[in-house]
Amino acid sequence: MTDSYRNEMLKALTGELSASEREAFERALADDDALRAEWERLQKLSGLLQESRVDSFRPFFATRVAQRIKSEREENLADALVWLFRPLAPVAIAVVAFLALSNWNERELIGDDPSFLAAIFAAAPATPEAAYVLDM
Amino acid sequence: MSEQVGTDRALIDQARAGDEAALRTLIERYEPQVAATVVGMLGPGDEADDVGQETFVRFYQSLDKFRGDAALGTYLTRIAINLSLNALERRKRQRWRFWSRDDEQAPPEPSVDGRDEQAASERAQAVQAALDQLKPAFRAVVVLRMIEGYSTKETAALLEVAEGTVLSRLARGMKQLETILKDEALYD
Repeated sequence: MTDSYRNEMLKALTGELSASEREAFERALADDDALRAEWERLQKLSGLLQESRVDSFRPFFATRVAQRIKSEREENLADALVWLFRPLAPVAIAVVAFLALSNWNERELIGDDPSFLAAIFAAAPATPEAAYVLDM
Repeated sequence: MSEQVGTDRALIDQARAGDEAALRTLIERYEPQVAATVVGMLGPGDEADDVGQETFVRFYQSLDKFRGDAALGTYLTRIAINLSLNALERRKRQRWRFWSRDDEQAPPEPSVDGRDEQAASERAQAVQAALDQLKPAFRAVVVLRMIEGYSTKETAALLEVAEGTVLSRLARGMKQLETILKDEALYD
């Protein structure tokens, strides 16, 4: 069997022959037993392939896709926010450093000998006296 | 068909505007076509399900770019076939690294009793196992032409190869399938 005959058969199988080609093919089939046997085998194989067609994924496929799209959209939103605020990060760090430094320079305002953290956060020590002052 | 194209366009516009129900309708409408392509290429299972989901996620992500030049089914099939070929490439690399005999799927014995449904299911599994033995390039042509029913021209466009290449791959793929299925006694 030549490749061209096989191609003709495959085209015939999927309805791609023109009317004249189809007519010539049918004449060849009628005249040639070997060709007819091959044609029948090919039709059977085509039937088996069609029968093996699977038309669905696992149950609730659309729901799972919708959930996946939703979660990817949320992740994209989080990524977009990170992307949006990332340029501000060095400015924010500089502001915090500046405030910490100025608090450290003025540490005597919050009392005698504050701890390092209390000094840079300008936090008064948490004592009963301080609580009383705040309450006033 | 043109009526469906019309409703597809309306649904796509609604999905673009954020209508989840419209997107869901499109997914349900095209699940059979995408499943036929992906399961034909990869066989049933988690991997096929994942590639099927990814196909629709990619479609959703490209909704704004989808101009409707191709029918939606063809557009989705193109995504599905490319993702399936990528999955087969990944599978090949993983098998090379972690090969084990358990990975080899023995095709089921053909049924000889009279229960049609079970016999059909076993035949389908045997055909799937036979498809799995074809090279991905041949398998893609067989799935698109013989299972999905795309024409030679459409298959060539989907796979970005010449029509002659589609015909020769189809002829060789079908010949190999015949040989494999003859060995399985499903085919004489």
